[in-house]
Amino acid sequence: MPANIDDLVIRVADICEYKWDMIRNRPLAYLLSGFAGGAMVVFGATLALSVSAGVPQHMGPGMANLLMGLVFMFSLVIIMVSGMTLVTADMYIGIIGVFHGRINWGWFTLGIMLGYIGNFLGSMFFMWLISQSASYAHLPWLMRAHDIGVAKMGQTASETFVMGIVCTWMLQVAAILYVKAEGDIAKIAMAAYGPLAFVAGMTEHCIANIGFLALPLFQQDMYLDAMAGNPVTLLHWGFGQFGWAHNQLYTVIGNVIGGILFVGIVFQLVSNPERVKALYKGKSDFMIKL
Amino acid sequence: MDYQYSPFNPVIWGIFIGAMVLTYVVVSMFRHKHPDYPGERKKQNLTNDSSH
Repeated sequence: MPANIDDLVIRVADICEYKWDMIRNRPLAYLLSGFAGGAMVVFGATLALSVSAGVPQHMGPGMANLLMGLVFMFSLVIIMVSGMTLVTADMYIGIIGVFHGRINWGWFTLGIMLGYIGNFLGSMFFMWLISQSASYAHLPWLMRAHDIGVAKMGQTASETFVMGIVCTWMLQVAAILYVKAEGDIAKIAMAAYGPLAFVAGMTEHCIANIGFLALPLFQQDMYLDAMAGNPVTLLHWGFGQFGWAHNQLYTVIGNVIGGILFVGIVFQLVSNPERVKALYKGKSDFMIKL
Repeated sequence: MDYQYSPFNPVIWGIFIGAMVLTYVVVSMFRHKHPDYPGERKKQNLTNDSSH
């Protein structure tokens, strides 16, 4: 039987206590867990790129989205099961921890920043490794990676921002339901839903995009050589249209709103404060590791 | 001026800052309404945990 929402918010607060205990006392270990989590996210991006090359042209863009979502599903499962860090999950976990007095605003902010840095390093490093491979240097995958880059980095600030909100709204509902579910099958199903929804739904996730959009930039010279004589859209690392930083900036702030406001705060406010207080009376352990 | 590709889009930053203010206000109002939430352990934290 899945935990009720009052049990759920306490579980989330216990997870927050575990995570922020690591942040306070073992920050390098937390950074490393962020590095691992960031890489695990782009395991999914790599698979998504691999299976979707050529699909939009031959089977339709919707089928490409579905395939990408299906292979991306297990990225969140392996992160949740391994207990590694994904900063977008920390957003809802941390705000519930603030409600429960487990952490204060300062530690919440620092924890998010540390998680982001770790995820950034993992995501970027893994996709740099992929860019050094021969497999992804073939034309179908060069073109697919570049097309994804153009589509995502070509969006306006508001387009990117709203899809950032939608992304973590969907993804973190799945993540919090992973905590709520009892049993391995239920947990896996909940965790798998999140990436399927956010990838197939064409939304923007800051950590996935770090690597997903860095890859065509790492490979841009190869792409330009392959496309010699044909008109191309140049991508770049900075702000402005087709810029990596442009997408990342508005994705991050969209993700923050989606995770904190639409997931963390909603679930906390739906829980019954009197029942939560009653449950705390009998409580002796205050930390859970995912 | 078109801010759709600028890092300083005032509408989006205004929404973001507004959302963060709303978050702070919601938490503050919750604490005001439930000063003893979530219960006994919070009081332990106030006396034992210097991080708060």
